[in-house]
Amino acid sequence: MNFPAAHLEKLAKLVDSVYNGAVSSEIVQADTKIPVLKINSRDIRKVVELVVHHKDLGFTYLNTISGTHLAETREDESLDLKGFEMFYVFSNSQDFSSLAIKTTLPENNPEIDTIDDFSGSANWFEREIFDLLGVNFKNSQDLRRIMLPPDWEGHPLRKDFKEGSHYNGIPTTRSSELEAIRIE
Amino acid sequence: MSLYHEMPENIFVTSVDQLLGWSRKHSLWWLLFGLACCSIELMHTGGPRADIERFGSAPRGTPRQADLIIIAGTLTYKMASRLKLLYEQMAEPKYVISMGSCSNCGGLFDKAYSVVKGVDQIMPVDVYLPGCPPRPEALLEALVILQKKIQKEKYLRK
Amino acid sequence: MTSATREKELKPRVEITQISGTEIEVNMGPHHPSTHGVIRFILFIDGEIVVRAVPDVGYLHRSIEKIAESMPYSFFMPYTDRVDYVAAINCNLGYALAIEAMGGLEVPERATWLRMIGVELNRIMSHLVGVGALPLDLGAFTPFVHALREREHMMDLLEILTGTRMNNNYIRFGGVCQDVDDEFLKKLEKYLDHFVLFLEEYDRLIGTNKIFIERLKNVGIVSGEKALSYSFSGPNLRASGIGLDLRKVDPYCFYNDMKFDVPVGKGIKGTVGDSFDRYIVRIEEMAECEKILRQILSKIKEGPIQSKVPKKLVLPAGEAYHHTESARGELGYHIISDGKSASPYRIKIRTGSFASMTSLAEIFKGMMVADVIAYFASLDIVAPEVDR
Repeated sequence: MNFPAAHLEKLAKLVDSVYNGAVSSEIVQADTKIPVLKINSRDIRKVVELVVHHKDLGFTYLNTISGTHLAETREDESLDLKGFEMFYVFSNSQDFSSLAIKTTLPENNPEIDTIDDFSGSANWFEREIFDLLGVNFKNSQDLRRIMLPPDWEGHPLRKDFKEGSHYNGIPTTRSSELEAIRIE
Repeated sequence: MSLYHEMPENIFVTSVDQLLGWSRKHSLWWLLFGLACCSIELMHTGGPRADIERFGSAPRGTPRQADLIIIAGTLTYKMASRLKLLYEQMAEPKYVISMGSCSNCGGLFDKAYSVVKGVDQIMPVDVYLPGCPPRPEALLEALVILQKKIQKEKYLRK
Repeated sequence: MTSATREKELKPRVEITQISGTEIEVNMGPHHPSTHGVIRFILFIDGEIVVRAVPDVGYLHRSIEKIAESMPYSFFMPYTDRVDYVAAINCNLGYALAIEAMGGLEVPERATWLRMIGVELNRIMSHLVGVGALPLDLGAFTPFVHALREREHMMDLLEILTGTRMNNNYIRFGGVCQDVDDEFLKKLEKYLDHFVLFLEEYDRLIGTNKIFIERLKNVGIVSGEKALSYSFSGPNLRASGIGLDLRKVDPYCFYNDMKFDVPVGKGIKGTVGDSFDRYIVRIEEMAECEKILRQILSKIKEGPIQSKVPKKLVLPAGEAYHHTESARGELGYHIISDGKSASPYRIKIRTGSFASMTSLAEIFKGMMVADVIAYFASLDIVAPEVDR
């Protein structure tokens, strides 16, 4: 749902006023019609608390948490860095207007505070990112691998992930017979 | 005069192997087991239109009562050990139909990091059934092919 | 029902404190006839009561999100089918709309109508699996066969529309893959006449069954507040009394012009948000789909079905989060493009089933083991949507 422009300014002011410069907030409009609030990763809990609990905002519904590994330089210079990008989408439970919160983490030892006490589903979303991207969520109540087996090594959604030749004795590739008979 | 000449319509002469094969092929009980997309077509094969029970093939909930396991869908590494366990729990003689491209060779998920590239890497397969997913008619065809194979088997004389 | 009797019914049948205190660990799944695919729970039970439950997923994790990064945008379309194979066209549509929004592609009017026909037919088929498998898990086999029979008819229709029975791969960027003739539309209309009768019969067959009602009412109650906290969406959220439908609040395609109601759970047999509400909401939603399909049939016009789309599609740098209402709730695609290559930098798929799964550990606590099955079946979860 389209987020009213007046709403946006109010939100920016609110974030600025409450944290008095502690939040490096910047609001950009993505292609999605969803406004994106860019913040510093150490303030994630403060900002989430604001958008969830503030009486004018009330974004209590967590749509998803998404993570991206930024390994190669991208054209959009605001993203031209190495590291991890976290993308939280919240929705208002009344009119279902959405808001995204975006933050970046360093390449080495990516860490961010957990938000699993704000929403019942946050823990699973965080576990998925921990599993596939290797982002550590501090003070999480239950941070285990969710998709991959517990003895798995590495985080596959990282751009530098390399697959081994075998997993538990099962070869990870298959020689294609079609390849051999391909007509040049 | 022998009995055979007296009642020619009621007596068949056959070998024990033939008789065993004939009776085994018409009571292939399959394990109720679906992995992914193909399990929907597997359900439809058991459903009213295709009706796999016409061929004497009934679904069973436990591997100990099953003769046939239909690998219907994508097998992941996490699931591989469980599937092996299920297969080993089945009593001999047992048969495997690999249903769909994923379980034949990885199929669409050939480039995936978590998918076993073909179920024949962990267990023997009797019939490979291509398709993504195969239609119920195709699964019935695979069953008929398996039945032909069972009929030909010399079960007593190895 | 008076408040006193309701309170009595809401209480667990056995007080947790009365039990011996010895826990038995019971493994359920990943191969279990009533987990609908490969999902596993580890239940710690005391007598017949679940003390603690640990859901374990990932047995069908097919690395779809990683595969997306290695191929052109259009090649990824068949993979979206396999995210939710029961409602494949819904997943196609969400992906196509996200890419079209990012790339500014046009869609001809007839293509949008055809998309909507596919999506709504698929939604009915998906709900049929949901309400068909629910009595199956509770021990009644016959209703499931009825649902399968209707699905066969609809699969025939989809075969004419898309060419395949399931995993249709129907939608293309800027259009759909093939057109249909008027004969199909007539067939569909004729089928809808039959479907209305079937739906009524089906609801009479199981929705009024005493055992079925007793097994579902007041079981697995998820209040509206809790449902929001667990990020429920789609029929599960609406069953908890919150009438959120993305087709209404954030309309896409021509849903703005469609007249349909959003059924919500009213607790007609027990409490709002119990398992019976999740059943009845799906039944009512199928009736709404039928209404939408009739409106589409009256409005669809001749015209082109595909707009001009560059062969090598390179999206401008940036990202998008686009969500649509799939059969199992909010289906969101978070797509990042680097602006240079013809393949996406990252695709994250948000699915309804994954969010519904997050509630299990808490809701299972204090339940009878048999109710675990009833609650889980009423959520209508599909394994690949959880694991992707």
